[in-house]
This record gives sequence, C-alpha cells and structure tokens, in this order.
Amino acid sequence: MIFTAPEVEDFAGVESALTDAFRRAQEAARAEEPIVFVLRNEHLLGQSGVPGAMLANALLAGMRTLAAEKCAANAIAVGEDHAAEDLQHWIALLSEGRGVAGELVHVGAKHVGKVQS
Amino acid sequence: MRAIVTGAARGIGLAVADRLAADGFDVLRVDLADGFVADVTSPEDRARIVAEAGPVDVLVNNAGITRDARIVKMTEEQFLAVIRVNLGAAYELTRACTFNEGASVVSLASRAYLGNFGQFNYSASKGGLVGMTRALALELAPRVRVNAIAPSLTASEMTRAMPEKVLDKMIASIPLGRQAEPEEIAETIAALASPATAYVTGQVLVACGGRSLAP
Repeated sequence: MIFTAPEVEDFAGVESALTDAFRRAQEAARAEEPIVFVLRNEHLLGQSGVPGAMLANALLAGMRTLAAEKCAANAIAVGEDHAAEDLQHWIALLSEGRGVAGELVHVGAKHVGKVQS
Repeated sequence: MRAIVTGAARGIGLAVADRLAADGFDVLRVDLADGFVADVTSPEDRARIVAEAGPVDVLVNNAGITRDARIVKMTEEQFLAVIRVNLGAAYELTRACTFNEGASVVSLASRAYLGNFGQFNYSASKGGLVGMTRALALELAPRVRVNAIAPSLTASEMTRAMPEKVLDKMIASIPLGRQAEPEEIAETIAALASPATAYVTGQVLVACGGRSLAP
C-alpha cells in the first residue's frame, strides 16, 4: 500500500487525510502487505504551513507504530530537489517489504543540517 | 501574566497549572470536570476560553485521551476521538488565542511520537503536535516561542491502576529506574515557558528518563 500525503489547508483536511491513511493502513496490515507513506520533507520540517506539518509528522509517527506492530511499514520524504525516478526506485524497494521497518528515507538532501524527524 | 492550561484538573495539567501559579501567573484552568469547565473540541467552548483568558503569555496544550488498540483491531471511532482531542483541539485553540509579545506555547507530545505498540491513533496525534510545533514556531517567530515536551511513563491514576507486574516491567525499561512525577514534567514545561529558554523554539524535549534510548 502506498499512501502519498495530499496537500491540506486546514484541520478538516488533516483529519480527512489521516482517516484515509488509517483505513488504508488497516486494510494493508490485515492483509500483511507492505506499507509506504510518501511525505514532503519541508512538511516534516514545518517549513510549509501548519496543516501540512501536522499531517506529515502524524503519518511518520503512525508509520513507526505500525512497524512496532510488526507491519513492514516505512516512509519516504522527498525534497523539492528530488528526481521522480529516484522516488519510484525507493517506493519499489520499500514495497518489497524485505526486513526493513520503521525507516524514513530522505530522497534529496535539503534535510541536512535541520532537525531530524 | 496570563496562562491557559488545558486538562488542568489532574495529573500533569494540574501540576503545571500549580507550578505556573506559583510563578505568579494568573492561570485559567480548563477542564471537562473542574475549574473553567469547557470541552476543547467544541468551537463554542474554545471561544469562551479565549474570551475569558484575554491575551495570554503562556498556553499549555495538555488535554489528551487514549483509546489504545492494535491497528488491525482499532475502530474508526477510536482513531478519530484521539485525533480530534489531542491534535485538532490543540491546533484550533492555539489558532484562536491572542498572544502577548514574548509569549510561549508548550504542547504535550509524548515519547509515543517515536512509535508505540497499540497506539497508532495516539502516536499519530502526538506526531501531529510535533509538526504543529515546528510550523508554528516558524510562523509566530519572533513574537511567540512554540515548543513541545514528550514525556514517557508518568505517575497518574492510570499507572496506579495498572497491575504491579506490568508497571514494574515498564519501569524496568527506563534507565532512570522510575516513572516521572507530574511535578517533574511540570517543572520542565515551566522552564520551556520561561525566559530561561528564551532562545529555544520549535523543539521537542523528550523527557522520558532515557527510555527512548534503552533497548
């Protein structure tokens, strides 16, 4: 299951996106399928508005709990400088669900020197 | 100096309200059961809180609930209840407040934002608070500082109700060898709200007795 965080503008949007992620993650967990959340790095860092930051960091925390519950759950944070083919590469790798869980992979380097999530 | 503390009737909320009052703050103690009675998930009640408090110097977003279950068993009601109280209410109340110059917001996250078995809803809500803290710190600077604290096991009615063996096992995973007292967490919150940390904003202070490091 691949869930890409949508752009949100208010808490209603955050709640709607989180509910969608919850439903899809639950379905994937019950089916024992790998789970990948795709996030934007500037949202994780809080650089692009409060609603987007809340959603991205909520999904990251939720992903780590899924991993604690033995799900093959991981996340990818893309920067503005990332190449689409690089993102697809990491989605494909993490979708195989082979022995990696609870990890955040940064595609791009804009997170360097900032608070790490 | 004016402060708002939500969830102030017991536990960490009560301790931080008492601590801020001892520091000379006029504290609006918001709770479902005692003090200024209000439901932080209600827009009408949030408007009453803001009107009663006026411009504030300190806001402590403490009100929170748990509805634990593994993801495969969790209901949508359990998920949404926690998200709405722990994250939505804190965000909307913070947005509604008027802050004095140099004010400080401190939100109660949790070590669970790093991931915790059986708490997809709770950890997501606390991760959301971490995101809110970072973004608001950038948005409200330089007038207002915004930080969060992430406690772990803290003495409460809930921990007192736990079977002794369960509690002992949890404490054994904490390098400092004990759970936190609410007053200790309150002390750290008061420090984050005080001029002693005037150059700190957008940060999460993990106050977990070392549990986040232990095997």
